[in-house]
Formats: sequence, C-alpha cells, structure tokens
Amino acid sequence: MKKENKFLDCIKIILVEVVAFFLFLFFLKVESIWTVIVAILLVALIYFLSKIYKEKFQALLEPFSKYQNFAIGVLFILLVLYPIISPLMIVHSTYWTLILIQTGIYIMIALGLNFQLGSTGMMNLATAAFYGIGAYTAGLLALKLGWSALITIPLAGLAAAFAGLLLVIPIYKTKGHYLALVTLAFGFMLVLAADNIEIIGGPQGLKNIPPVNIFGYSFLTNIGGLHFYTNYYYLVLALLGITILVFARLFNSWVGLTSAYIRDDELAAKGCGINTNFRKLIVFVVGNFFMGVAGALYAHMIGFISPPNFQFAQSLLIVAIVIIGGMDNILGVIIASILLVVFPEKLRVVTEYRIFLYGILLVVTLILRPRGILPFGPRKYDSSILKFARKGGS
Amino acid sequence: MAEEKKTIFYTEDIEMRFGGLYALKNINIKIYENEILGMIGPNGSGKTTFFNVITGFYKPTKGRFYFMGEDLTGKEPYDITRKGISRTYQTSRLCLDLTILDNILIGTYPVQKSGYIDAIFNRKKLIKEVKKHTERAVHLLNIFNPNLVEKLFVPVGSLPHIDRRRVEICRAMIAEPKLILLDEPSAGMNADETQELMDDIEKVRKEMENVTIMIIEHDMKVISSVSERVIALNFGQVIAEGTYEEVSHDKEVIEAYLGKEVANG
Amino acid sequence: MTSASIFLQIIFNGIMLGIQYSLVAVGFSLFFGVLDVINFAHGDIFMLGAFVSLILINVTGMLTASGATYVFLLILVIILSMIIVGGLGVFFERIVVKPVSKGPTLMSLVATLGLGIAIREAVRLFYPRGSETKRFPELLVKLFPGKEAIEFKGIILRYDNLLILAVGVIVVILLALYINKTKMGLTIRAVAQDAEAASMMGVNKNLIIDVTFFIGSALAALAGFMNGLYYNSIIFDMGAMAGIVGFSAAVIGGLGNIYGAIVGGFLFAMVESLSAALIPKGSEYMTVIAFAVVILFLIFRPSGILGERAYERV
Repeated sequence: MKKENKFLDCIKIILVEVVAFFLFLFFLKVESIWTVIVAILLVALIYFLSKIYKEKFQALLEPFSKYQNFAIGVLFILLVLYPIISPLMIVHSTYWTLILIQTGIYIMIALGLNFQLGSTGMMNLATAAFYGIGAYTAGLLALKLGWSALITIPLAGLAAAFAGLLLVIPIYKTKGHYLALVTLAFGFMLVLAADNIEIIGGPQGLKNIPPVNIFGYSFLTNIGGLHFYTNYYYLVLALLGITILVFARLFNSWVGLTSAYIRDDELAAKGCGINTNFRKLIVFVVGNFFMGVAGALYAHMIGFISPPNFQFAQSLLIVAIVIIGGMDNILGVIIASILLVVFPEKLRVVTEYRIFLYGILLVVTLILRPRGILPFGPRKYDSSILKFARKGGS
Repeated sequence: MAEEKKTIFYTEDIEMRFGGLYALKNINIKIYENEILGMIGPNGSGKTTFFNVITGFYKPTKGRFYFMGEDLTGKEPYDITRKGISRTYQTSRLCLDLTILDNILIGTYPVQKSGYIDAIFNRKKLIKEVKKHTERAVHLLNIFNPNLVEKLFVPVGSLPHIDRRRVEICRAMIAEPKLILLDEPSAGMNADETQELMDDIEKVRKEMENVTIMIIEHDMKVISSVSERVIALNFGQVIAEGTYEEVSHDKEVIEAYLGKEVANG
Repeated sequence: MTSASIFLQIIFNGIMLGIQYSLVAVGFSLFFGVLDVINFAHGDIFMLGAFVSLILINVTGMLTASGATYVFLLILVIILSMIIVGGLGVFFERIVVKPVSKGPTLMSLVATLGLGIAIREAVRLFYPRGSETKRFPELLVKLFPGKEAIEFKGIILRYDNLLILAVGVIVVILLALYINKTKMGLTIRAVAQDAEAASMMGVNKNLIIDVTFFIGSALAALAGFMNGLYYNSIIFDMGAMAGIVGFSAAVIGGLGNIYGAIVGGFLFAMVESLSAALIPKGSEYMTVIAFAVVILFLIFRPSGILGERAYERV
C-alpha cells in the first residue's frame, strides 16, 4: 500500500509540474498583454479555490513537501529541457532564454541580499554597486589580462565580498540604520566613480569582454541549432542551483538561527552569547560574494558593461524582490524575481510606470504583509529533527 | 547555616548614572552559591537597571562587579553570557515568529561548534549537534509542560503567556549557566499562572541542583515563596537585606512602597 | 578675485546650501525623535515643495504683478506652499509612515523609500513633461530694476540669495523659539527625547506626530523652494540627493537632536563648498567628500556632534 501511495504521489508531482511548465511556456509564447491579465486572474482563481477547497488543495500539495527532493529533481529536469523545448513552441525563444538567464542572475543577487536583509536584517541599498564591482572585476581581468572565466568569476565574488568588508568595518559598532545610509551613499559614489575613471572605461564602460571559455570550449558556440546563450543558460542554472543549495543549508543550521535572532531581536541575541557585530560582518561579506559572482556572469555573457547598468534603480529592484517575495524565504525570493523581472517584459506598455509601481508595491507590501508574499516557514534543520515533535513529550 | 557560604558574585560600589539621574548608587551586593535571591523595590528603583549592568547591556559609570572571581566590568553581554550568566527579560524577549525549538536552541549558542563550513559541507556533524541539543530542549520542556513538545515547530507567538515564559526559561537554562537572572517573570500573569510560575521556579532548582537564581519581582507572593534571601532597592540604593520576613517588615521598605504615613503606622 | 573674496564666496555658498540642508535635516531628526522612523520620503517632500511653489507662482500669475502686490503674492506663495506640502506630509504620515513605524526601523526605512520613489515617479509621470528640468524664475530681480545684484567685498550677492538668507535666518530663529517657548514645541522636544516618558504624562501622541510631520514637511518644502530659487531650476529627482544629504546631516548632528540637525546641515554644506572651491574637479566630487566626512563621523562619534537619543530600552 505504501509503495503504491508513493508512486501516486510522484505521479501527482510530475503532473502538476509539467502542466505548470507548459502553461509558463504558453505564457511566454503569446504576444499580447492579455496573457498577463489571464495569468493574474488564474493565480487569483487558484488562490480562492485553495481557500474554499482547503483539504483538496492540501492533498495536492502534500506530496511536494513529503518528497521535496523528488519535486526539486523533476523541476530541475524540466529546466534542463527548457532550452530544447522552447524553440519548438516560441518564436522569440532566444529573447526569452536571455530574459530567463537574466532572471537567474537576479535571483542570485537577490538570494545574496536575502541572506543579508531577509535572514539577518541588514539593509544593503548598494546591491547593484556590488554586482557592478563583480562585473567590472571579471570584465577587467578577462579583457586586460586575458584571464579565464574559471578565475574571474570567483575573483569577482571575492572582490565584491572584500568591498563589503571595507564598507562595513568602519561602521562596525553602529546601529542598523547607518548601514542603510552608508550603502545608499556608496551606491551613488560608485556610479559616480565609474563614470569618471577612464581606465575602467568611464561612461562608455567596458566593451568586448571575452566570453566564458572552459578548456577551449567557447561559450559563443551555438549548440546544434540552439543559440549560444544556451551555454550561459546551463552555466547560470548550475551556479544558481549551487547558490540555492548553499543558502538552504545555511537556513537550516546555526547560521540561519543566529541570523534570524539578530534580525528579530538583536539585544536578546547578544544576551544569548552572540557577538552580533561580528556575525553581521560575516553575513554581509558572504552575501556580497554571490552578488559579485552574478556580476561576473553578466559581464561575460553580455560582453559589455557600463555604469548605467548598476544604478540605484537596480538596487531598488533587488530590495523589492526580497521584501515582496518574502524575507528569509528562498522560494519567495525566486517567485518574486520571476514576477518582477519576467512580467514587466510582457507588459511593455507599463515600462514607463515600472519604477512607480515598484515603489507602490513596496509600500503596500510592507503595510499589509510585512513579511512578504511567502513568509518564512519553520526551521526544520533535518527530517530527523522533525521526529522530536511528538505528542506528550519524548 | 553551618556551612561557609561561597560568594560567586559580588559588586563593588556600582553606580549607574544617566545624565543627571542616578539609576543606581553605591550598590554592594553579594550573591551566594546555590541560593535563590530575590530583589524587590518600587517602580523605577533600579532593579532592571541592575540586571542590565551586570549582564553588560549598560556599562556602569562607577564601580566593578566580579563573577566566579573574574572581573566582568565593561564586558559585552555576549562575553558575560559565555561566562555562565543567563537571564530572562521583563518583556520576555523571544522571537515570536520563530519556533519553540529555535527559541530554545539559540540558548546553546555558546557551546555549539559548527559554523558555515559544517552547515554546507558537513551536515552530519551539524545534525548530530542539533540532535543533542534538541533532546535536551525536549527534556526541559517536559519538565514544565509536556504539551509543548509536540509544538516544537510552532511559532512561539501562538503560545499563551505562561508558556512563552517557560520557553524563555528553557532558553536561559539550556546552556547550563551558573547564575540565572529572572526579571519579573510573573509580569502580566494572572493568579493561576503565577502559581504555576512558582512551581516552575522550583522545578528549575530541582533540575539544576547547582544553579544560583536571582529574581526580580513585584509579586510578593512569588518572592516570599521562592526566595531564601531578599534585597530591597529604592531610588537606586539598597535599603534592606535579609529574609523576606525581615525585609517586608523593614520600615524603610514599607515607606518606599506605601508612603511615610503607612510606615509610621 | 582676491583670496579674501574667494573665502567669503565659499562661506556664503556654504551658508546658502547649509540653510537648505538644515531645513531638511531638521525633519529627519524630528521624525526619528518622535516616531523612531527614518523617513526616506522626506527628500521628495523637499522636491514637492519646489514643484508646488512653481505651480503656485504660475497659478497666481505672480510674475505679471508688480510692487506691493508682487511682494504680497510672493509671501503668499511661500506660505501656501509650506502649508500645502505640510499637509501632504501629514497625509503621507497617516497612510504610510505611522503604520510602518510600529515594525522594525529597517522596514519603515524601506517603506518610506518606496513612498519617496512613488512620489518622485508620480511627478515624473504626471506633471507635464515631468522628466525635464523645469526653469524656476528669479524672483526678486523684478523689485530692483536696473541692478542685477549687490556687490559686497568682492562677491556678487544675488537678491534671491539674500532672500534665502533672510528667510532662512528668520525661520531658524522661529523654530528655536517654537521648540523652546511654546507648549507644543516643548512637548515635541520631550517626546523626541523619550517617547515613553511623554506618553506616561498623558500627551496626545497622535497629535504630536501630526504636528511634527506638518512642521518637518513644511520646512522641507521651504528648502525646496529655496533650492529652486538658488539654482533657478528644479527637476523631479532633486529630492533623492537632498534626502540622503539631509539624513546624513541629521546623523552627524545626532538623530533626534534638532540643533544637531542644523549644525550638521551647515557642516555638510561647508565641506561641500570648500571641496568645490579648493579641490580640482571639486564640484563633481564635493558630495563624495562630504559623505566621506559623514562616514568618519560615524566611526569616531557615532552618536553625532550633539548626541543622539539616549540608551535603548532593554
């Protein structure tokens, strides 16, 4: 009986995911803005149905939490197949592949910020600047010194991490709102500096940054009939997967716990023996590392970076993603990234209003749902720990 | 009272000044090993300020204090906690959105060994540690309220007041401190809950035989039933010291609480 | 130009900017003191002040008047824009700032940031040709036909700048009198120092908050007007920088401390003015240098020159 149930659950998972996958492809494929409206209506419909048919919905979602690893595995396979299937269905599939890669890069940055802000309560308003430091580091090393992406990407992460260290140390002992001010000012200063320093390209930026080249295989190669962007798709997918794994593991560990305590009650954290200033420093540096890596990926892929890529508007977008998606919730951040990056691409007509809407969305979210669309769930550490919650005590 | 009482904690002329206001003045207090020491005093007499000073949240403007022979004056709260002093807070500082387990496990921070590297690459070591501490947490919860164990992964915010206080006490206990400071644990509790609280304090004593407890309280029932010795503060200074009987009949103490007329009869 | 006149010019420029920054910084300190919030929309209130006064200048047809009518209309425009924007400040406080002030400070920071962005973009989108720089007219030249400006010890003093100076001094004095002599002012100071003590004394907290936001926003609006007058141009995103600068100035002076905000504003302006004049390519880097000074302050004197609010309640 048990074996049969497990099999049934797995079929359910596969079915739901495949349907969602093709719905998504369809959403990308159809050109009119009606898709967005339909999508929103669909989501609203599902939401209301889930409230009415609570048990049915829970029965549907249960396999996902029970067999989480399997669900993730299926999703991964679908994501791997995407670049192969999408050209068959979508006319401008290359464009959308690029958008998805960009989304993946933003997710990486957002996860870095989520670790700083969502997990630990540290406001970083210069995410774009650190992303930019990563991009420029990789770009310069590749362009001027001819170093391979295998080296530039990690170094870009370290550069962003180091910059974060330099920024936080002076204000080590001060209160949280000063970090916001310092990062805000830093963001502006960095763009100003990048605009004025000729060696790194000035306002024209860096051009002709070499693509990723692993052991002779250049990422500019078209695979079969697929555009060379596909190479970057898989690279970003892999690195993003690692990023998600790292942060998920950190969440379910002492790191996640102490960070949450620092975020929610720093005084109590100190009273529990935590050197909060030191812990926050480490968090900031680690979060920045991933922003730098994301920047490097962007630089190699697009081959051209310039100061306007790394302005406050981009930092704001990342902050919006974390706050709207759910603080300290990896899945929430991913969903919000897709919402805030992919949807606007569909809504060409609202491009003018984008920033305005971000502002409004931030305000509304913080007033109505301060923890985000998907607030964080209980920290489970490990399935073996879950077993301790038994009725009547051990 | 035949054995020699060992002093594990003492202060030397502690003064805590905020601008022109003296919150604490000439404080010389000793805490003996294994005792339950009560501290009373009207609102604003400096009780919580005293706790804040000896746990490092405020740095005293004058004076020093020593724990287990070591000078802890000027140290940060996290250092002091690691030396073996735990506390609870008047407003029960728990993270309400986090689970019961999270809120208790955090108390073991001073003794946990795994960090970033283990969290990512060596899950086995991490889980082993978490398991060990979770077992202890469950053990502690069972002492106070076994019903809480099945709610290990429920946010603390959904618990009634007395259970939150219990979680906080578990958090203070789990790192096996030598000295536990309870700041008005009965704050906000009704009569039934206060009774349960008094039982809880007895349970703490039973579970940790060598622990020393200092408790600030407004509820005289609690103080009289659990403390072996009581210190009274008023306007930041010690005005009486002794058993509850002695202190509650002290003229200055009565005057502090009820005014001169009542004190003089 | 002699070195004396260069020096005087630097000082004068510093004072001009200092007045504007101080007026914005005072708002930051007030809001932090009374409501424990960092209101990042405040810079955009400054911007609203500039735009509202420009609209009023056009609507009242002020520029076609002359003589006493002109002066009257000028005063009317200034006061009306302060009142309108002050009211807007209270409006935003009621719908956004106060609700989020109950949570962690960081949340109010982001929420007000979002609010500020919404205000900024609203002006860009809905004001006719909003993304372009708008010309802000010279105002006092009309009254002194023939002469463009006054010359004093080698430096040129535009009439409008003198107006800014005069109004700035008057307003600062009025503000000092207000928070020291009037009941409401003293209450605001008390609440800013220790909100809990004040509420125990039976103060109507909500009224205090409304009044504080009104005053803070009105002052920022005045600063916006002055800024428009000083540069003869306004643009929808002028509030972004003003907000950061105002916040920094308030921080240097000590958050919650009104005098500190004024001192901080002038200090920031002086550093900018000195940098612009003495360092090559200074006018581009002056803000950067001033920020570096702010960071130095944060390292060595985190509670500000005149001291932030006291201890955190444990």
